[in-house]
Amino acid sequence: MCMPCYTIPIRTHVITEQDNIIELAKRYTEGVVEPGDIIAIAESVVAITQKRAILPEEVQPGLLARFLCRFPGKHGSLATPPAMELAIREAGTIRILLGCMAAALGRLIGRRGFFYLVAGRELAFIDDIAGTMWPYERHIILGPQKPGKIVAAIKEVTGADVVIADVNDIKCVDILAATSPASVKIAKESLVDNPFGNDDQQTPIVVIKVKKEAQDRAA
Amino acid sequence: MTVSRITNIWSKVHYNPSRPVSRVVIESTSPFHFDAKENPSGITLIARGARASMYCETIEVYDGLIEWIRVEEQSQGVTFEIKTNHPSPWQVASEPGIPHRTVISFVRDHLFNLFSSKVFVIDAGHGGNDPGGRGPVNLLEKNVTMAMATALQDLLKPLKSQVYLTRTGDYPLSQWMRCNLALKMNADVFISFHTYHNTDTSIQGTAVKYNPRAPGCERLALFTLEEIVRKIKRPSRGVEPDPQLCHLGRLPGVTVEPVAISNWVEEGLLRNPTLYKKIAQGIFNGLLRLWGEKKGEK
Repeated sequence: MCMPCYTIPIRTHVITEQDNIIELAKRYTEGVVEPGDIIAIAESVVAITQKRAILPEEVQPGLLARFLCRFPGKHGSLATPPAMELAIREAGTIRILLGCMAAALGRLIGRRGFFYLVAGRELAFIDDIAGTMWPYERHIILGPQKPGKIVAAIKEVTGADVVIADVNDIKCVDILAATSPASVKIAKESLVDNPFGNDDQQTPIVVIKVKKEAQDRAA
Repeated sequence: MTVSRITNIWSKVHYNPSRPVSRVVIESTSPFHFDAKENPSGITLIARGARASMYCETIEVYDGLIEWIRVEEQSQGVTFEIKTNHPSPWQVASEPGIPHRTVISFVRDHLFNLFSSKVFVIDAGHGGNDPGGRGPVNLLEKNVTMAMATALQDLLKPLKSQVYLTRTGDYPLSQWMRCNLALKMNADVFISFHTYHNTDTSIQGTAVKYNPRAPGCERLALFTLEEIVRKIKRPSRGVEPDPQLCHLGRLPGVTVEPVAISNWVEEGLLRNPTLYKKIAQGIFNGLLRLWGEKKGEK
């Protein structure tokens, strides 16, 4: 059953690698988050704070990256040589090649997604030169590292359940890590309209309030 | 009583069927008492007793009416200073909910008055068997110029401007045919969209070229360039005369190259649909500056 929720996006400063995501989540949600709420954080800003936003000109793609980047969908995440090079560094050459073999097999039988299944789910969170979120619109942003540890640490300082989510404007919500199974379900439903924004909204932190509890508190 | 927390602020142009308005929306955890007063450059709203959970800064808007919004937390509450480029009727309304929304609406009538009598000919460069430049991944210039032309048309139509596109599909046209449409329609301005393309993929940024035969056209190009750069935050490649626009005679015309399609990063930017809206808004703001200036001179 669909759980009705409210989302409260919080406008932050432009988050950079100088920031600590745990401290930020505590500071920006103070006075907004209440018991029973969920804090949702955009995966890309978690990655940025982990120094995982990389300028493509700083990457020297090898021959393998130049060759392999011709095969994924052109609107996908690994369509440029620098992004493919970073994927090879993340997963290792062998896993990437196995992923390519799996993808080729998938094409033969008309199934998609085999590449990420074999090469690693974390590669699906690489944002190739995304054109969004100034001043990181010209960066390749890798997926965040150890998201499970981060959500646990934020829960410890805020008391609220926490999810790290990858959301796009075509209503796809991926939860990378969560502090409870219930929060995964609620976040998947309530983040579908992308309250993080996909441009320069600067709202990478969203507080989700479950409708009934919020109404009871308001009453 | 719990303190109202300001969580977010955003602005958007809302196209009422009768009257377009610029809406500034302040989101908070609960309603707050406010004082709103007009000043020479816009309005100031003070959210009494509220606290800011959001980051307080100056937010650039540049939507043709609202220039920027400055948010500051002070002892009496949170202050919102909204700078407009033209005096405009405004009103404040509340929209209950979670988050609670305080909406300040500014009427955009002066833009309607300025643009409704204007005739635009918008040209999407290339087409058909002439694809123009090709991005390092896969984008084609002829397709992205069409998206740019359509975005500008969408921005101008609600203001009742007469807008003509030189092409509405994927087919080739000669430069003479493109310019001739502007002459035939007695256009106020001809705007042609292209992207820069070079074998040197490191070249990036925005350039605007102008019709050297049209008086004052260099100024139009300069304003257009400055406003596009402000919106899309790309480096400037400057303004220069475009001999191809000489067909227009004394009719003002510009060729806009917002980005270099041959650059990896800028091809990536072209995949974001909001880029096209920002380019259109930049051109609109450039025209507004020029025509506003001329109106002021009169």
